[in-house]
Amino acid sequence: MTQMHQPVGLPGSVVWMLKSLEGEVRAVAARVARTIVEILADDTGPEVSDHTVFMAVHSALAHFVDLSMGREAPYVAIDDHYRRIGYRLAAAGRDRVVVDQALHVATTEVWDELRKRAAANELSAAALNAINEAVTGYVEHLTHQVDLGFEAGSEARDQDAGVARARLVDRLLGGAEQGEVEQQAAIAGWEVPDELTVMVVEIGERQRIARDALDDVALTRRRPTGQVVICPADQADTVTEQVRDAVPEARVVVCWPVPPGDVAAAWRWVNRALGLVRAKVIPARPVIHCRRHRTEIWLHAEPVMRRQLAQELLQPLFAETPNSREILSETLLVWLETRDSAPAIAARLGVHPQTVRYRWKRINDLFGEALHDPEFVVQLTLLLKASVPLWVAGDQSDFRRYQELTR
Amino acid sequence: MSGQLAALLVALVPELVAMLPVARWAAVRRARAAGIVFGGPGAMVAARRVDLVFLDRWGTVTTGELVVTSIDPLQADDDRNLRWFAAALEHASDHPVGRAIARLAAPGRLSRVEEVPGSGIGGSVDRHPVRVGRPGWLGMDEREGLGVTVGVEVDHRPFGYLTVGDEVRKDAAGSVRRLRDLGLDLVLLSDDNARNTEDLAGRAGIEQWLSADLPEKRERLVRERQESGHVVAVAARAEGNAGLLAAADLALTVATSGAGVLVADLDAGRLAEAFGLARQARRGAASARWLGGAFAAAGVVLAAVGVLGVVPAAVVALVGVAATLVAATRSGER
Repeated sequence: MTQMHQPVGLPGSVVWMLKSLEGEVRAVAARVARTIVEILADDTGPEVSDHTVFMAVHSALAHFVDLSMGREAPYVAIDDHYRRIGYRLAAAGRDRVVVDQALHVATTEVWDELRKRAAANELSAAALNAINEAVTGYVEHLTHQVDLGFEAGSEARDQDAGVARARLVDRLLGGAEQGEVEQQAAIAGWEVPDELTVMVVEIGERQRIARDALDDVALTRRRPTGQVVICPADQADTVTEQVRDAVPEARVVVCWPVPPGDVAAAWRWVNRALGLVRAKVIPARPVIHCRRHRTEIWLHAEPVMRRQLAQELLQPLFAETPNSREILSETLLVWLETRDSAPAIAARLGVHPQTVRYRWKRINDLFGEALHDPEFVVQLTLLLKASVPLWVAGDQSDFRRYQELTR
Repeated sequence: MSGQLAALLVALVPELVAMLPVARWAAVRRARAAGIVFGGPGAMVAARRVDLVFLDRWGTVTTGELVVTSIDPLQADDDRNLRWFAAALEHASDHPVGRAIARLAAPGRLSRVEEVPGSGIGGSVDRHPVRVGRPGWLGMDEREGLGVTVGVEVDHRPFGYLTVGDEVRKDAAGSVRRLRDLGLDLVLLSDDNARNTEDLAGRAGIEQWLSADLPEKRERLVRERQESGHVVAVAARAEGNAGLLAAADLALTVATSGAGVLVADLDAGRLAEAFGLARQARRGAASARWLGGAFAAAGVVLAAVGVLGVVPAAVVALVGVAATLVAATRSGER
């Protein structure tokens, strides 16, 4: 808080000595500033220029002399100046030790100057004590101003960093150029790894994952479809667990690792996977790993093409009842995927081996020679993998559309 | 004088032993070993008097179970599929035809099973809709022929036919012959249709057969034979045949207690054993009485003329008792 000063009550000898100093304040300040800059050359950054150091020393020295002479000298400007120094350092992420060191150096230098002058003026020990107390009190006041500024700067820095990380998420999801991403990452203080894992967390509209719930390596931001989480690929398991701890009831969809340039695509994939979970194409689990459902994610990228393929390749099934279509296509898919024996397929489907033999006979009756065409088999496998869960979930629109078209 | 009197009394012992029902005791013991229990002396007497036996279809000349006699899929290579789907579904049925079909395959995963009385059974086997029942119920052509023919439908498509018939006991004809050799007239009584009953009677070697499924009608058939002078036995399961068994002069049935003849099962061979034992017990008793009387008479005469002292009389009596017992018990053997 800025205060109006009450003049310092110093002995007359001291006032007289300081009066002699008044005309040399600028020179002394320049010398002290130089010393500070020399000593702290490695620690000061662009935030604290030489001029800033000089102005700080000069204004403080001049203000102290004014106070010592008993003049009315408001603290406003000098306090603001020192608070700004603290603020700038904190905002730049610098340690405040550098200010403490600077103040210490300045105090030592000024005190050396005062001692020399006190000796030349044969000041008494009492006078020397009085001036020491005045200097110490004044430096404490300045230190407090730096503290206040540093505190405010730290808060602002936190807020700025959040904004920067949010912008970085936007850049990554927007498919920004590498240079732009790296620039924003530097502002956010986030190192861009070679591979990233993108997740979408299905949470309620009013829910948020607190930033401190996840490690700093994880970027997160609320999006309309859910909360996005981006982290280095090698941290994906840890971050997934942290997400689960933060919002245990939420479903997390985790993409396979991608380079930073593919984050936008990965975001599409996780959202598509989430949609497929809702459509019951992908089994609903707390954590969905997209790697296991690549085919579904891939083929559902082209819903119209998938439906047209279904209507073309699966025509023999269209005369069947929905129940028959479902069980025959389910059996066909398992056979195409595994090429196992009837007992093995039966065990997988939970039916009797003779049921599988019967189904296989029906499938052969329906599809005939087409099942010996490799191209047909490849397309059919992909199509069934993408479509069977949809039909099993009760979505018969593929067939209804066909029936409407052929009616 | 007192020695002569004693010899006379000792000589009478074989006659006294011959008066004991040793032959019946032996027959009862052998019957028990053969799974036959005569429910009191009256049952054995009645068994001796019976001259006509009604053999119910279930369990006498058949095993009491039906078997699948024909499997006719509409497509030749669907034989195993037809067996599987029909049998899996029929495991949910308690009908004799259903039980016969169920033995064709192991149980399966069933759902939505529903029995339609008089028509058949429907349900899902491994999620495939299956129905087994009267062909007409399934919209299939009826089939004429022996046995009971049911249609099978899978996935709403006619799939094939299964025919079920009686499982005739392997030794049915031999058992029937043994019964007839005992002087018994046999009538096969069946709740099946006339064609199937006639076929079964022919396979078992029974000349007379009657097809009747209503209890009153079956009871009336027994009474008609009784009124014509026959002593009638009925061999039938107790369930559903209470009136029929009560009307008979002798009831042979599977039970643990009651009157009549209780048997472990209604196998015609076991029935022949029961009737045989009853008849042989009578012959054994007659032989024993004759031998006992002969030894006693000879002993008395010899003792009376003073030829036989007490000790020789006792020896003759012992021989007579042994011969009587052997005659009574051995006559019960086959």
